[in-house]
Amino acid sequence: MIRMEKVCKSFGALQVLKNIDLSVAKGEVVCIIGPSGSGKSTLLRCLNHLERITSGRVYIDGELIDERIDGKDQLKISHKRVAEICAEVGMVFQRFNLFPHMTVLQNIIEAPVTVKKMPKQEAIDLAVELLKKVGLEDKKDEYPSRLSGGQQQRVAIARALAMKPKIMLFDEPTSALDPELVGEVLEVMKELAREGMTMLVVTHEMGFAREVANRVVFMDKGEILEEGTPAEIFSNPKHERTKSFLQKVL
Amino acid sequence: MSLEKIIASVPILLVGSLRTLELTIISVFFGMILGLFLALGRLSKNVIIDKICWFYIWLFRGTPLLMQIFFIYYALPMIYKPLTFNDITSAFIALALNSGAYLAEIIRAAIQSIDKGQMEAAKALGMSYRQAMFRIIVPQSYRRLIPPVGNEFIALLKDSALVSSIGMTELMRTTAQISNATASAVIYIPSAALYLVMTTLFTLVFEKLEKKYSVYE
Repeated sequence: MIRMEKVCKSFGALQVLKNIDLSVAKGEVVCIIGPSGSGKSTLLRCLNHLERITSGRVYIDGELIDERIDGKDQLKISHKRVAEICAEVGMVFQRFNLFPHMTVLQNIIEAPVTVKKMPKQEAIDLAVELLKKVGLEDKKDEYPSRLSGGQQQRVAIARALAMKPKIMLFDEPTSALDPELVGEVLEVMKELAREGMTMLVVTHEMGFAREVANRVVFMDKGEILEEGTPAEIFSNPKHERTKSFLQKVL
Repeated sequence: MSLEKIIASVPILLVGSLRTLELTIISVFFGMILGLFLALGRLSKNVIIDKICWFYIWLFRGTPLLMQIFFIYYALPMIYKPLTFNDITSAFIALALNSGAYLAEIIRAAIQSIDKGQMEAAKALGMSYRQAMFRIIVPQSYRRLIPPVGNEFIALLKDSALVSSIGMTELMRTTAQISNATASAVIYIPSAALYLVMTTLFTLVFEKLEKKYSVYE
């Protein structure tokens, strides 16, 4: 579903991703853990063109969506096609990024109606169904500012799902939440994982990674240092830096 | 000048006021459209478009409005004959072009003040830059636009008095004519009051609008 080959990314002189090779199979749930500033979020953002890579290749669902050599664009496909592929990659942000001028329902139907040209009624039916799924059908006419952080994040998940994505990216989805609201968001994500959604999750929730992930990837200073099953990573980390990181967070 | 005479000239003043209002509203309307495109141009990644818009704003903010009015009314026809406009059209053009420059900077600032995460969320949902701008970013800037656009309305309403210099009979010129005809300056008092009434009107309308667009915050 996702394949990154030798991906490097620099912001000026600062190299944030170094030779990343990563693939995620269909239906797999992969959690990326690691200290702040290790490039986890940047890696995620390279998968839907929120950041462009400096060199390497990125494939989504078998299709090449980014290729650069020394910062030079090698990509042959049109902007339109890139946008179409990226629309199949749902993303949930740390700070929710709901559209504040729209109600919950409008937030969810916006992209299906404007991007996919879905008939409005169909989009509304879909939105209501998704809101039921995240347990917020009674909030459909509220503005986001009236919701708690946990509720906003659940709406953001529903909004991403409305595009019927093949892959869901989660960028520290619970880091901006009050501790007592984390659980409700993780529940929704677990439900998605059970349904077989392909998920790539950057998280500090070790409990979630241990319970839900098929594979855990440890990143530090822009490199993938270690990957394996949750049991391997959490019980028997091989790399020194993984050990010291896990000691601090567990 | 007697009180009766002043009362008798009120209808003429009111006609002048209507002209002033018409000038203000129509000019700001076209100025807004122009300003929106100038603002988007200034935010464009295309350096040439950015520079052209920058130049336009630099030119129209950096020269006196009165000079722009004179230029359009007197100088343009000398440069190129088909560009001859009557006083009304010249007035509208000058005020719209001038307010467009100021509004462009107002709109650009409002757009830039919107959280970057909004554009990212829109892109992540597959929206194009244009869709994201017109569906997500620009609508959110409305509320932040209201106070400075209110200012611009009031400023332009008063600046519109400058077009009396090319012979357009709006409130200012009407007042001056009455004053000349009656050899008395008393008429400036009700005229000033009418300007105040109009600016107050705009103030109230914009306060209402601000409330209306604040519902989601």
